[in-house]
Amino acid sequence: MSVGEGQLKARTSGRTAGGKPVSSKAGDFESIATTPESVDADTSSTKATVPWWVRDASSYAFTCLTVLSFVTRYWRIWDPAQVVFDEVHFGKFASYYLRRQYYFDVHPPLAKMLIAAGGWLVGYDGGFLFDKIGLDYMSHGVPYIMLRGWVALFGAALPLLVYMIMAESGYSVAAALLAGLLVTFDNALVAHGRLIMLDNIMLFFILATVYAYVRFFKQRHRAFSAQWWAWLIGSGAMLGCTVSCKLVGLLTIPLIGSAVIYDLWRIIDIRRGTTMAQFAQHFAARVVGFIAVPFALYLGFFYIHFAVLTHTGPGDGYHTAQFQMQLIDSPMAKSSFNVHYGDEIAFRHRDTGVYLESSTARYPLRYEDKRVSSQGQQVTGAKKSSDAAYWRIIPASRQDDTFEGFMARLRHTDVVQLEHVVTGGLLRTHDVASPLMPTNMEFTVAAANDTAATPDTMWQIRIDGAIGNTTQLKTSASFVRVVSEQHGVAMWTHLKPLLPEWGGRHQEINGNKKPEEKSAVWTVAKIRGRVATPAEQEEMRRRVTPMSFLAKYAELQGLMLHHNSALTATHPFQSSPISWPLLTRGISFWTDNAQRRQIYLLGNPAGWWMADVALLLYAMLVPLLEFFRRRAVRVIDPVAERHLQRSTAFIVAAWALHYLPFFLMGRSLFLHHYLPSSIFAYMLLAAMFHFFNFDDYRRFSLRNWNGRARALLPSPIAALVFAVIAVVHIATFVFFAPLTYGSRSLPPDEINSRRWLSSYDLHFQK
Amino acid sequence: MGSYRSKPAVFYDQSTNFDDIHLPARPAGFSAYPTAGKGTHSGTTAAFASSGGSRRWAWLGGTSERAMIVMLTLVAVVTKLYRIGRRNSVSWDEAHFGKFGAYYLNQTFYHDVHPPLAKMLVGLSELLAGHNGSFDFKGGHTYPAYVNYRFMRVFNAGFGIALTPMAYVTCRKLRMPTEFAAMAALFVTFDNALCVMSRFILLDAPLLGFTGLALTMLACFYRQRQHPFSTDWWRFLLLTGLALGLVASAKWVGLFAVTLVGSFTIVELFEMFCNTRLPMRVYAKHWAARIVALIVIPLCIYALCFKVHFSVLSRYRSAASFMPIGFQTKMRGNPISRQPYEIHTGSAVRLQSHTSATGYLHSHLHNYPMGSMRQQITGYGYADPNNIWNIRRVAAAGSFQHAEDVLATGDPIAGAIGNGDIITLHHNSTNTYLYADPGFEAPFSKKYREVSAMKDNEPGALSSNSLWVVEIVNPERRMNDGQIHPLGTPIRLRSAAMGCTLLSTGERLDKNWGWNQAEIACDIDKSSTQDSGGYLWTIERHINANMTSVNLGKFMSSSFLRDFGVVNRQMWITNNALVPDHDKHNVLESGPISWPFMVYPMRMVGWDDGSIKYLEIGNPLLWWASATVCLIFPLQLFYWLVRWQRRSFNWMPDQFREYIEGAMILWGGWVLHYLPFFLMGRVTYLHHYLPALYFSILFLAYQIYHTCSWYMSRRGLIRVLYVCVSVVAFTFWWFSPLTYGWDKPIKDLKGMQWVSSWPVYTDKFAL
Repeated sequence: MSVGEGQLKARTSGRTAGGKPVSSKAGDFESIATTPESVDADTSSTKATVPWWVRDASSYAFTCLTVLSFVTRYWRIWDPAQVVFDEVHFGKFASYYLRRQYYFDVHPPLAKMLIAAGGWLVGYDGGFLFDKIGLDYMSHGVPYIMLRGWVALFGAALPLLVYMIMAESGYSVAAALLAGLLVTFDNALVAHGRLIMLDNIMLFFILATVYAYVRFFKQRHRAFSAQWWAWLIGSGAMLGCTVSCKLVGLLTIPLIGSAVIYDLWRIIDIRRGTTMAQFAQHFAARVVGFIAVPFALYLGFFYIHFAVLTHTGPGDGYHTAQFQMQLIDSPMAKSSFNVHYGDEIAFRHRDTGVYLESSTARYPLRYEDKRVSSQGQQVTGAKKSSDAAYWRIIPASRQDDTFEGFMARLRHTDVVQLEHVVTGGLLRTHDVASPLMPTNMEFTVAAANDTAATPDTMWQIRIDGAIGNTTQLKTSASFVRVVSEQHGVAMWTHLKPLLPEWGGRHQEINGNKKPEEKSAVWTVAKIRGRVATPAEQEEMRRRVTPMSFLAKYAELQGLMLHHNSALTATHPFQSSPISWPLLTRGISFWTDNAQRRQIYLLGNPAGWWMADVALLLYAMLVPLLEFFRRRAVRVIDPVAERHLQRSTAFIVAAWALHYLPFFLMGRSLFLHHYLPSSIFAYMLLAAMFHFFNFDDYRRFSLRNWNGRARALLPSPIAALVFAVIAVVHIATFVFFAPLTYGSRSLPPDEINSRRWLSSYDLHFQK
Repeated sequence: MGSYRSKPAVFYDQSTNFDDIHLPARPAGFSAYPTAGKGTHSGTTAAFASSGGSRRWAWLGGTSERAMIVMLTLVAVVTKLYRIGRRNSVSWDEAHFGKFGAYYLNQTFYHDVHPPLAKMLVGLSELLAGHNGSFDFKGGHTYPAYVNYRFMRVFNAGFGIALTPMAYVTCRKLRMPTEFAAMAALFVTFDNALCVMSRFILLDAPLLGFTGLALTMLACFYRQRQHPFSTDWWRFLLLTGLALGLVASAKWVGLFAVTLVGSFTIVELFEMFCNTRLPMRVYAKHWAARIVALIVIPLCIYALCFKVHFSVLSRYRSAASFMPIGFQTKMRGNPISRQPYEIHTGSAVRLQSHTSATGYLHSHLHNYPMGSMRQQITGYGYADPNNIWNIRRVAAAGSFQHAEDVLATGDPIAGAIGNGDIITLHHNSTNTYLYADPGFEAPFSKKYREVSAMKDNEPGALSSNSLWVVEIVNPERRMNDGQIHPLGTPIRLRSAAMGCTLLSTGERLDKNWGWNQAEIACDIDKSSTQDSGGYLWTIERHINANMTSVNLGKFMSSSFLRDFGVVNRQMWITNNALVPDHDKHNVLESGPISWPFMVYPMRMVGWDDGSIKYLEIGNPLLWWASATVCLIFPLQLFYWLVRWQRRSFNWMPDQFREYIEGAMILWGGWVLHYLPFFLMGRVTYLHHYLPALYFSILFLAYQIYHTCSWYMSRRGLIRVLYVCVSVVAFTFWWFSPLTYGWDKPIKDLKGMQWVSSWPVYTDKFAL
């Protein structure tokens, strides 16, 4: 309650301080920097005194930034002519699009499709697969300069967007230019911005979202006008693109979401005269703009994704059989037979790809951990299929052992016995602990005449996704669980550890007490002697039931989320979020041992640390001002304070929401996850520069990014501060540039002089 | 102060919240808060405030209030004590806490994750019950005749009983009328879980009792807000601090109560800060009063509990081995304080690292698989002959440059070893020297050098690499004679060859070749300050047959603050080590998410047909209703916030503030006693929810009263009250067989299997 009350007071005081009549129209006391009237009044009174180079400073600054950002991104973009770091992934994915082969990746498709589109435009055929860091582009004929240049367009646009956001938010030309320069000369953004990687494309869309949202917010006094709608939809569309680039883009949603909630909270205030019907319109418009539009775009990109990737490719294996059968040339669609009783089949484990096989070898009496086995015949999982991997299917009840019964097709929930073709025994599980896992049951083979073992040899066939018990078991296409009828355990195997020497280093097969587990799924790899004729293949392909787009999408999305959270394998260059703002360590992108060159991803240390100082300043300033306000002590101009609490707070929120959630993530994290936040930290640095040096907001603030300026700098001190920050930042950039561009070989002493922190593990230190 | 007290309204800027909002005319049909219940409300409040009887107990209200309190207490006494001694064997965690209590009787040291107060109270109850400390409380054993377990349980149940009147007073202080405060107290009385957990010798009852006390005192203090620095204000502020000290000393979970009071205080101080009419001088006084009462006093009580704990437990037991050596040497019957005083060439010593997990300097007949491939040097935590090193003085202090010459003669020098002397350390059982090798990196920490054990018959074994300079660091004041002594003189060992310092890196060696023992290495970097634990070693054991042992205890100093710090740190470590073992499914553990709706009640004893069975199950209606109310409250807040923004908010400002302040104390208590468990890595049990449950039950009554009073007449309110109390009492009775013990086959209790996951008569996890 008291917070809301605080706002009320602030508004009231702002109103009186602004000298406006209380009866002015509802929105006046809320505008970001100034009201249109006051600007006009200001400009008209000072127009005569503004020299041309001040008036057009905004255009010059923007032009200057454009030139600098293109120069920094495109300088020696052809070098190194080798695969660098994650180009290995993203270049490869682009190639798959051009080959139209299906692949799987945890990230949504937009950025990768954009890269591929660039390749398509320049006539690249996807012939190169970017298999290893350091592979040569020239000899493989890859138009990599074009690809990099295309991505660098997005990278080069970042400083410009930053300039536009700052200017639209009502900062001065100097602050906007400073933010632009900081982003232009950041080593990490440059290093990423000139390689075939996704981050800069996503950053472009993040900033575009923010820019469009600021424009939308500035239209709030003309709600439901054409422009208002345009920026609303535009902002939502950019949000949709952001999310479609990388999952990290999801973090932009809470940013826009919180801004929208803040906005709606103001709108619902009855003193604004909003009726509930009007509020409902506002609400609905935002649901459309910020939920429906992004989601539709997101789905749309997946639609294109599926429409382009029509052929079978390396991503098949992640998917269900039905999904795989949709792909042209999928082996699933070409050789999927019904399984009949009496067939001799080979089971293959879905996750690990081993075949269920048995041999005459027996389990040893005692294992290393002193447990005792049944000494039965071994059942193991072998990497290669052989005669020992075939099992004949026998109906469970011998009564219907007629020819018709025997020739029937195998269906979901059927109970069968599995006869090992080579040794003639029946697959059995019983209440003996398996060799490696005391909790799981041993699998072995029982002699056919061992009637005591019969209940142990009954297996129920459960087909995943079966509808009723009419679903038939097919080779390749059916995912099947083999569950013991007597014990309820499912046939299961696991990758590690392997069986010792006595088991031929095969995988252990055992009975898992949780038959529902994902890893308990097998396929019938083949039926002995059954090969599809071309006619049969054609027939089978015709009979594949098509899968709707939404079903495909739902399946892929589930897999993406699952595999993303499973990315927990440690990487030598992963880092913890706490170290990112401090820039304690970079990532080695590429090294060339012959010429002793390297690309090392590292932010601009001076810039990052200055930005950290700005963050600290803001964190101290806001509570301090709040305390003063609560004690009714006026220390700063209410306009400046409102600016600090709204547009600057938005930047800080953007920084925090793109950074803090990483602390909750379990997957392996990298320095480049901080890049969105680093841009917002730079913007905050510029905003703090503005706050501490500019006493009068109205006179210096820009209304539009290309608008006319009325004054540039309030004091020589401000100019000095600007110059110091810019010079230190650019000098540091130039100093670290050899590591960013990999442009020249540095002798060891120069390498060590760049190890500002001992944890910068640069190569060629000696 | 005077001026401030004369204008109580100043304290709370009455204009802050709502009176600049022009409330719309109230809808006619809406019965305004609390006009309907006005008769009871304001009437009893007046009676409550007015006196009657002695001035001393005026805060408890008039005669009728006291009669009500007595009646409620009687109900609580009956429910808590009914057949309390029925199961005459050690039940549930009585095995732990009865035993801990017994340690106070036989004055033997023990270590536990909980602070000592509650266990000292158990000890007190044993003392009063005439127990001599000889019964060891083995789980399931029948109590012998000389242990009056019934008295001990009654003593402990006293805390549970006290919860009822405290709940009543709390609700009265939060402005609930008599009837509904009584309802809240009856709810607390008729919860089966609170009841059953109070009926055994456990720590839950004292914890709950002190938590309830803290809440009551906070509520009393809250009502003194208008009269700052009055006698009652001081009394309740100090009592709140006292209660916080008690609750934190009972179990660390009590710190949540501290957080509750802390948050309350911060909000209060912040609101005062915003009141510009309050002079800064007075404001500073508010701060000072709260710092003294709510920080200093609880800390003192907490420390005092440990002081008593230490002074009572004066007999040595190996459990004390983690304590500072100074503390151990002061204990009766300790094995370490009698050792020869001066250390000479030929003395056998055991070196203990100052990092706690490292243990003793150790070597064994296994080699490093890398580096020099020589015999390993490790840190090992347990007594073992391989921890013994023979010390030889090779050169006196200052003759470092002559080490090579000394080596040539090879003769050790007799005499006591002092600061700066050069020694060798000879490992007796493997005939090796402690040997620093500059040529190799340490096995794990690459920035350090390797330390190995060099066979003494190999050429070069006795070289400058096996010479070590002794440096004494911060010796005990009474041992500061420049010589090394057992226990009291921490030493650093610096290699004569490289000047590197022996340290325990804190890393563990590989399980396969190093048996997970601690890594020992040599730090060549002389620039770093080397006073931290890893570099320091204490001669923990000194064996020299030629010398007579003396009592070293008289040289050792011990500081309470250091002992206090060490024991708390150890509690923290032990507590964090109680992590759930995922391989082993434990039926007794349950995750916090399952608590509010009581998904998994817990069997407290074996479940065979003949035994007397107790189930830790709450009153389901109370649990479910209170959880629902707590979860809905944020939505209510949001709803009111929107109404406020729409200015269709029809509370009277003061009434809303009074309502919301009470609600935030109770609901906030629930949140602070519940949510932190989600962050804990350690194992959690259902009874960890009980303090939170206490808050949520009071909040349930609070919400029932307020919600109903918006819509109902006084008569309707009373009817609601009767229905609530009787339904709750009935459910309590329905489940009472599980609370008071059930000795017949469990099949007869089918009617209590309300939820399939309850282990009443089926057991999902039965093996």
